Amino acid sequence: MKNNISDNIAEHLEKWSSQVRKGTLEFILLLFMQKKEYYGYELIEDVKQILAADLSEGTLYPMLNRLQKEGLISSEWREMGSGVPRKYYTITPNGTHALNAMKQEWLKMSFAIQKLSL
Amino acid sequence: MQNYPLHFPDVFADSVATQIWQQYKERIERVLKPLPLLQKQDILLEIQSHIWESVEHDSAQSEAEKVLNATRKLGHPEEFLQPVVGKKLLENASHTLNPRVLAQSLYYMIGGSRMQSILVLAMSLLYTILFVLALMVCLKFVFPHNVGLFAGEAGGFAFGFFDYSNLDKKYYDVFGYWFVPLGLAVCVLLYTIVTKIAYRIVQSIVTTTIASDENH
Repeated sequence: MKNNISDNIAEHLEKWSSQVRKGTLEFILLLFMQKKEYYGYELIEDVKQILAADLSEGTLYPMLNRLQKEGLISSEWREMGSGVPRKYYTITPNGTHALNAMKQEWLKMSFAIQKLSL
Repeated sequence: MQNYPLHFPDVFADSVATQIWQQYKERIERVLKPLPLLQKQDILLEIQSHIWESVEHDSAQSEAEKVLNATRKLGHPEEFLQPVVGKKLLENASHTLNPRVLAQSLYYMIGGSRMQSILVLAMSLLYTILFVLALMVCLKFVFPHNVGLFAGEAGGFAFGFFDYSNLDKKYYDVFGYWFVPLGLAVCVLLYTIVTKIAYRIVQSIVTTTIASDENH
């Protein structure tokens, strides 16, 4: 019985954690791109380290595509001296504005949660 | 418009690795088939670039194993690309209003997230209603006295197709032949609005998968 309850809690937590990671993925991508420009593979590897999750790599490209469509990031193909050509993603001024707004929102939310948790 | 790289490798040193890549590429191309050439090329090259990078950073012993790992981590093209193709097709349909492209986009999006599938069902229902209205406009030419919007002298409306012999004489045809241009205008207007709104909604749906999603 006790095991059942703790299993349920673990399952619930895993589900919740996955939803949180999913919901903040866009924010995380923009935070990374604020530091430097990224190509897809490199970005995915860094994001995977932060999220400590087995991210389905193929599904991250649609999100990059959407951010680009919304004008938050831009992309450019580049030939590399050695190795395969890379598509580099850069945050746009609009993306930086959106990111700053997201940061504010994040701080507000985290402050409110912290206050509740005390 | 993107400038596409000219020097893109398509084979590995190891023939088995090349074969694995070619098979994966064929699956990608099959899913991307309905897209315009430039969109197809952009997606395929980005996946190709990802696989080559992944192989370069993999510590596995054989090249074939590295390619296999790379494709496994990317996932099944039929799963992760289908919603993308659906979205792109819907985007194309929202610009061109081509019903064939629209039908293709609905077919591709039904395999996406739950939200996306619900949207597709709602859209399919609305398009079916529009199709019935368009069909009635055509039938107005064949059965001019049986098809249209009818108003009862004692009040109430009846809309649709009526058997002439059963039609109550106290009903009269509200629009007459004006039913044709009005019906067509409503069809075109609703078709455009539904397609454009659906495109906006689909763009905001997140399709990213995190491992634990697949376990539930």
